[in-house]
Amino acid sequence: MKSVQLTAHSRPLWLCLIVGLGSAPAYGDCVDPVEKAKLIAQKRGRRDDERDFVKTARHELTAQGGYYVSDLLDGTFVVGAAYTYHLTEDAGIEASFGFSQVRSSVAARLERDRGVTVLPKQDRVYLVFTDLIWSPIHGKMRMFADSIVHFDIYGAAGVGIIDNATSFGAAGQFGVGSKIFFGKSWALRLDVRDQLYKQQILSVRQYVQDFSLTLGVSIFLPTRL
Amino acid sequence: MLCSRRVIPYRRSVVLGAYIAVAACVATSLPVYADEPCLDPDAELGAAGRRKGVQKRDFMKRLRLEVSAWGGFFASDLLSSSYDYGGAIAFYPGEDFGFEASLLVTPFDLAVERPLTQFFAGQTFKPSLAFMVVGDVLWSPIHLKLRVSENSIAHGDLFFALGAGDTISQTVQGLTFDVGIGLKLYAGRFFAVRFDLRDYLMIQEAVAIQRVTNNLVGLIGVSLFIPGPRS
Repeated sequence: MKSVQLTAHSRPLWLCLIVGLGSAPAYGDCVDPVEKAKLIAQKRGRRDDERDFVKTARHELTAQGGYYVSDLLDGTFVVGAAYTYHLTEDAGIEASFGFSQVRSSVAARLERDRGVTVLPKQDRVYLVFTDLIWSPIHGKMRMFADSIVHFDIYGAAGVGIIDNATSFGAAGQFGVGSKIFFGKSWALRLDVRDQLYKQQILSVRQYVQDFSLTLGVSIFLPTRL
Repeated sequence: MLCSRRVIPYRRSVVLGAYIAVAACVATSLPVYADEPCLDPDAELGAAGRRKGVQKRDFMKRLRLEVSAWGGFFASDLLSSSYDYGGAIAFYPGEDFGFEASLLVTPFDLAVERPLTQFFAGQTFKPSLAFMVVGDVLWSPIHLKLRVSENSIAHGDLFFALGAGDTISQTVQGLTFDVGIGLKLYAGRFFAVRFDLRDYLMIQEAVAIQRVTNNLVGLIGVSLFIPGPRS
């Protein structure tokens, strides 16, 4: 029987054996807490251009409608449109137009009972405003199990004109709203606005506050950045 | 002649060596699981450092009582718009559902009649205070987070309200219904700021005009949650 001695050609086998048996479990390094904190801070304070939905330098076109509650007259509908240019993520300028038809069931009754004309027959109202939009609050909400939706909460303030037979014209407007973003260029917006202006009925002039609640759909142009 | 070196039969040694070599190669190729005792699976960073999104709730409402004080505007459909104030008490059996009893006080007035009173004697409509007592079911399906500054994130809930009650006023008949939407932002473990937008439906009468009215109500308030959060 041929015998094998521990010679040169058996050394590779033994070397492999020693290396294999000598390979101890590797212990991976812990995550560096300094690097981890830096990464978290980077993600928390993301720059504007890192947001999921970017508004800066985009044009927003809105179609909206809702409920218009006049101070002196009956509540009615309002429809309109708006154009907003977003200077930054937080600031924008909006031009809006609204149309409504106001009436007063109380005034109609008074006219019938007293035999006088309280309100003119012309009952259409045009609302034209220019507002500054400030969106300091950005948030996200979980609507379903895996769906996270981003939104903004903003305030609006501006001046304009309420064109109506009983209005003196100039009006101020302020309000709050929320925009919920879908995809890269669509949004659903909810606005509550308060319009202050002077109104005259017969010989009595008084400042009134009309409220409007509108729901609208917006598209942001360009649609892709 | 015997040698001082160890002697192994040739064929057996070759086979044994081959087995050992294969075993060694297999052993070295097995996946090694790095031991990372310092990684917290509940940490903010998820797998591969990705954001986990909205996860746990920092503010718990379950089995707690909420006491609120609020005020705002009352945009009346038939009468004149005015201010309002009041309060509410709510109890939450679960995180998403609650029951609320609310009180809203607002002055009822008819300013459109005022120009006529200068020419005709008497005043038909008598201004008065109205008290709206309503019971609501609250549903909070949406939890949200807001970034108000670089290092400040607030938690909140978007909720819906639906209920019915009564308006204590000579101008209102029958039941009063309300439906609305609101936002609660939590500050600390016991306080919250709430914003409510509601529509109060009621049958209202003024100057012999009687009809169903939609009155828009906007409220801002503060809430206190007692007792402390339940585990």
